[in-house]
Amino acid sequence: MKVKMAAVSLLGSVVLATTGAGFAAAAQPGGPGGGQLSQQDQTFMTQNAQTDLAETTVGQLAAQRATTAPIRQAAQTIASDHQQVLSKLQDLGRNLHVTLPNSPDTSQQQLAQQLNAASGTDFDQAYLQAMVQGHQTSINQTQQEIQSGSNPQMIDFAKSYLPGAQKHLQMVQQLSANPSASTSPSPNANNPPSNAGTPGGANPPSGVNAGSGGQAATSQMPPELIAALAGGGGLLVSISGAALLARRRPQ
Amino acid sequence: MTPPCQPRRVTTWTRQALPGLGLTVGLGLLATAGIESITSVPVTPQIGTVPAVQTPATADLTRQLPSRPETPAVLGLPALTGSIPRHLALPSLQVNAPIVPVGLQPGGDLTVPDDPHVLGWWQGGARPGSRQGSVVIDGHVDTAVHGPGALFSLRQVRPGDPVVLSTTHGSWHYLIVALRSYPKVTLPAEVFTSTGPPRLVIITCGGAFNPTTRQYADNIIAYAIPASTNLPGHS
Repeated sequence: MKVKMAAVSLLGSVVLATTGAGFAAAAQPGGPGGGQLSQQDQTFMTQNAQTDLAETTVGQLAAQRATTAPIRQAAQTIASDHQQVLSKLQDLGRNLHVTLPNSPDTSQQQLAQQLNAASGTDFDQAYLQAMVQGHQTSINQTQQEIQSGSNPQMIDFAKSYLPGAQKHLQMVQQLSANPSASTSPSPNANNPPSNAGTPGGANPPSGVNAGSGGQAATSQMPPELIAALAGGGGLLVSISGAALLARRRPQ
Repeated sequence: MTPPCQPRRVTTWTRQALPGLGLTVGLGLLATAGIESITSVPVTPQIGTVPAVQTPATADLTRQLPSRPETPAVLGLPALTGSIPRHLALPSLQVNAPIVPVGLQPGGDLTVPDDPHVLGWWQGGARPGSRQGSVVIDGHVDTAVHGPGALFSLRQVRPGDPVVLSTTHGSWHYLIVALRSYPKVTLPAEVFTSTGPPRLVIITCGGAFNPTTRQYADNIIAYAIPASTNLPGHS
């Protein structure tokens, strides 16, 4: 109960942290000196700010509630990194005269509530699953900004954000496969995984080895072929039998 | 005492029967050779239409999918509580198998449960009820130790066959729409996509079998889409 209250309070504090004014206002174009902000730039700023708020909130929750030390450590790292990213984005927003949202979007708040209701290993799985898919989504949004954004500052921001998000993704994917495995979170690593071009931005399995018996290979003959072979064999056996009989009768 | 004419009788019978016997054995060998050559060039099922990864039309379909109150799928984020698959039923193939979560092996391959009667659900993929991405289920076609597995007959599945994924909070119904065979070496990454309309992907092995490496050459994959019977509370 104490933890739940803390989590709700945590979410509330994030919601109110920036302007203290309830739900988010979408990013608005900058004023004089704000640079050229396209719709794509504005959308990305909004998405990224909401992601940072959400990841910080649920990360701090997971840092308390996860059942294994590696997950708690990863959650703390993710929360801390996104807090720093948000701070940087807020600086950019001020420079560009853009008002950023001050709360996660509705779905992210639902996510926080669902996580708040979970416990034990169910919580671990739910948190890691949320982090995998959340980071995949965020990576896709960031790649979209890098490809289609207009404002150089925002594009630079996106480029600097991407490796960290990819590293987070790699980290939570490793933990999903083995929740007890320790990871080496390093959001500023210069060797992000080479998964940027895969669908969804994730590391898909490289293969599936699902058979070692060999029985399926011999059962892969189509029924019509089996019938044809059996019929042909039977026909020839019959002919040979008939020939034998014909040879024996004259004697 | 052995009758004196018996050896002669046997010899005559042998002489008369031998050509026919040889012919029969030869035919048998011929048929066996035929079977051997066929198993080394397996039949590749290419049935139905694979659900598109992302098109405007399917995006519309995605929006029409019902959601479950207890497992709301959210934008880009997974449905959470109660949506982890626990059991798969594929009645047309008489498949009823438990499911356990699996991840990736160090080399990047998807883990397959050792017990061929147990299926794996890829934790990095979507969950039943998610509004996007592939729910990925894998399982052995067979193993050297246990023989045929739960997905031994997957290649016989046909479009329209129902599939039911049970979770801790209800069941999700799917309909098979396509069957494909891909060489393992060129397995498309989009099979595991986390974007696009929701779908179920069931993977096993098939094709030619190498008795030395004890591996199959191909992956057999059945694709399914959510059925319209996925109503809130339906199980």
